[in-house]
Amino acid sequence: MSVMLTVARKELLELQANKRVLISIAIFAMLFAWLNSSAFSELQWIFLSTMIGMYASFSLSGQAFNQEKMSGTLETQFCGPVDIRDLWSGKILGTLIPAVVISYFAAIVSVVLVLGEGPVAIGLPAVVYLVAVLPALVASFIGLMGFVQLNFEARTTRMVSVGVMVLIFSMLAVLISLPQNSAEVSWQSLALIAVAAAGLLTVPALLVNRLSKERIILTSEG
Amino acid sequence: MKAIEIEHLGKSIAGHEILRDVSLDVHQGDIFAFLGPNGAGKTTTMRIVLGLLNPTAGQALVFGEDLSTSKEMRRKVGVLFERHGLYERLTVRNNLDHYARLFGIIDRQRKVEEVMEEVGIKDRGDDAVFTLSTGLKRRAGLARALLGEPEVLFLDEPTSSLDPQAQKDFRTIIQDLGHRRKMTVFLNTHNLDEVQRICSRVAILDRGSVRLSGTMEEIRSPKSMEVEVVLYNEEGAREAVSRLLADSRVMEAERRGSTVDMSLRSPLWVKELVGWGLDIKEYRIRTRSLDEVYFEVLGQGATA
Repeated sequence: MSVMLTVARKELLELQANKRVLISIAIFAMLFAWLNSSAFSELQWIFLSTMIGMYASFSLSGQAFNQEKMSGTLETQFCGPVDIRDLWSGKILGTLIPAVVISYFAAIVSVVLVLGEGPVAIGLPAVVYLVAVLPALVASFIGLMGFVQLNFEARTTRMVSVGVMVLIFSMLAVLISLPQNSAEVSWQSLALIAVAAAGLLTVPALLVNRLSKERIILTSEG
Repeated sequence: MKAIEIEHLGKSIAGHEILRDVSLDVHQGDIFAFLGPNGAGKTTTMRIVLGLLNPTAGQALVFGEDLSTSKEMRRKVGVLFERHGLYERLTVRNNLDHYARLFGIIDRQRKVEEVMEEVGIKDRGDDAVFTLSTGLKRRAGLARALLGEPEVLFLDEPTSSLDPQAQKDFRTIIQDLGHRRKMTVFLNTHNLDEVQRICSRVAILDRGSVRLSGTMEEIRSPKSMEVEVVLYNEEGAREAVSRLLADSRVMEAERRGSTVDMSLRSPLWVKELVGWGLDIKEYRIRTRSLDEVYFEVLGQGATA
């Protein structure tokens, strides 16, 4: 547990030292929120928040996993009393926190932008989604990205990462629109997405057992 | 006591044989040099010893334990690869603090200051790593490797791409650590001058096999006794060659001007030569330089 928190702390420190990445993600998020603020739709709102969370985690996971693998800091840490699972879970936590914060920030901005045009109705299922389901989805996405980046060489990583992102978005779009045709999130669709998110979370948790130090080191050499 | 035992180690990667039956021992307190050209398999051997790669044959132990399974023994090992293993954007102090937390070091702050002092980088502690020169980055990497008070220190090409002054400084630090802390040092390098200056034991690896190993004295001592005799004139040297070749102890004798080089099966001392009536100006027993040994060994490997 302490190793996981130490790694997460380091990820946040690095992000603090490299504000450029954080600022560029935040600008993109705000721009996206502004472009989608013409008419408020709850479905569009949570979809947008999720997408921004995913985009942020996609950018940040590159620094947390791939960059560390290629720079050799991961190999150095493997020489100490540290397990792959501890490092991996610490990196997920350290990437999840800023990704979710950015995603919430974009969600709040998009609401603020449409407030002047009339009342904004946000249902409880949408709030529950943002608070509980979105972090789980983003965490599973980071976990998958982490596994892909650690397990494959750079070229394969790029291809598989895009594939994973497209897959999750498609699944999310289908799940949200399945139970009804309204513009609001229903309890039914929330339950479906929550189950899918829980399922997705178990995938990287199982996959990490397949990671080996040898595989990570040898694929870092191209 | 053996600090590192490597027994019949073999490693193949993607069907390519990298190591073949590598065996060697490093004793506690040795500053051991693992010499060899690029691609010889030095880093692969080190990675197997560190438990980062799995051997396809044999085993590697540190104080009798396999580092791939013994987390506790990994605490007693410090490592500095050619890449320093530090986060470029974080300060030296933040980097060391992070590693100290990972190692679960008690009294973290004091330890961080202590290792920075030890390698002479304390005044740059608050600077981001990317602002440091290559030499200072290497020092910061060494400070990181020393955090857990290791009993064995693994260094992979620590002075490559450093300027001569930085190389000298780094060598002094390693030598000092070896003596003061009684630390075992496993040094991967192809810097022969460095090895000659600081190492007590050497092994030469070439294309995945150990070609030669032993103490520095052992590997530098010639197979036969090589002697150089300088006489006062060429006439004397000619006479010396004919007398020497008639002696059963002399394998070879060759003249260069007034100098005679000879290889001996058993000692033939200067007083005997004087007794033969030869007018001796100088008498030198030659030892081989590490360069000579290294290139001789690699040459044999190439023709084998």
